[in-house]
Amino acid sequence: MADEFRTAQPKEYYRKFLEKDVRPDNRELGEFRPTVLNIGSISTAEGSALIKLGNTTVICGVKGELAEPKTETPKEGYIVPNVELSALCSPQFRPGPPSEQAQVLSQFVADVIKNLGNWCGCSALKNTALPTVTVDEETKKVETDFKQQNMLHLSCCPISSTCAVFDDTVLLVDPTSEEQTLATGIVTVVTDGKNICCLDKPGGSPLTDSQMRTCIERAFQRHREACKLMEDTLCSIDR
Amino acid sequence: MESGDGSSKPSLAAMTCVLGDLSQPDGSAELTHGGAVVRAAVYGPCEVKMSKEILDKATIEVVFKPKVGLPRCEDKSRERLIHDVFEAAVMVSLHPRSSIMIVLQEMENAEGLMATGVNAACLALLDAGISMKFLVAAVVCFVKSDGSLDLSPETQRGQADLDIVASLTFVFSEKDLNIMCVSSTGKYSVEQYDSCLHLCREASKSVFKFFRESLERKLSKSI
Repeated sequence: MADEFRTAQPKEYYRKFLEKDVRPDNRELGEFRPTVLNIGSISTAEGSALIKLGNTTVICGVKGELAEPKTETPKEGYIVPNVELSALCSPQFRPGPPSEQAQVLSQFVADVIKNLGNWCGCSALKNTALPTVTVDEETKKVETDFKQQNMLHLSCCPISSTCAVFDDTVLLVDPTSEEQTLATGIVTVVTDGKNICCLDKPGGSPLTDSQMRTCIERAFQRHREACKLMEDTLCSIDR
Repeated sequence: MESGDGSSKPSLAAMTCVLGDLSQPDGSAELTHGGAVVRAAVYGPCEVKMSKEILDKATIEVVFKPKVGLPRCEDKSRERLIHDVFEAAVMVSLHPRSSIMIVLQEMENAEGLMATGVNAACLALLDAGISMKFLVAAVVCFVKSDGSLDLSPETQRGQADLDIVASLTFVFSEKDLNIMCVSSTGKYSVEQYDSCLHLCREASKSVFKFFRESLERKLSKSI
């Protein structure tokens, strides 16, 4: 019965839950989905990471290559982020050339990496994307050099967190794809612990200052949680 | 749009616009703000491609044309932002199963191109007479390396200002001046974010005033 209700009246279904300050997947409004992190799982890449956030899984590989620098920046390397939304992951995605969504995500990742503001030959793993169900994100980095291994130096460690706005008023942290389709707006905040690296709210319902503040505060809190998880994982692997 | 009192408070660069100068589109505008120039055209509500049809509301289509070359990822993300802003601002439920198309052509690129694009699109929609729930105004704010804020940096043509460490573009709705959209580049602290927000919100009032005056000027007739 509940399933029929969910399919036929998804908004009403969610409202019933949100009245009681809980979400259909048993989470509180400000709670993230359980996060699983695996670093260095692709042996053929210079660095890699796999992140699972609930049913959203993103795998990211970094390949380093010697290349001619761009003419505008002769003393700097460059990074080409590429977000692939494979048709194997979800019926929302179609095979073929990158969709608009994939291009927008790639640009977002490019902006975040640019903000790291460091010289780079090859670089951080980082992403914002969705194989199985939703859009979500995380960060990671590692790197190798044939004989000596040089860890890539990153100037900061950006972590992003997303809030969805439901019915113009309720903020849902870390939305699933279902929540995201019902949402009237999305706010993504990327922080490095001290500063905001990127703030992205592409339209949607107008928010008050205090709602924006809540999103930013939650992002800083998330940064602490995620950094701890990252350190633990980095310590547990030996390279 | 200058503050006029000669104070050191950051103020917006001068804005000029030409409304309805294109004959084919239903509404058009060319907006110059500081060094950035964007031309916007609006078609609609008109027929929509079957694959893009939405049963209970109008489809907003946005095309952002760069000055040269083919649209890149950057332009796609601009398109998405403008699309999301106007999907919330335009009364889309008035025109189900139809299309409202916004075409933007970059004429001069300078700091704050995005904000100029949003404002030009808003003027073009007003010119086309599309019903909107509220007006939107975009303002861009720059954080300099010494921590000071600026709304209209003096850049030399074709040269990026190296002094700028971050830029934040805000889009406000006219109703209560709530935040419709934020997009940013560079790193900045939460305090800087707050002061940028405050500064941009104040500046957005003069943008709304500019919209009103431009439209009044266009619609008034000399007797």
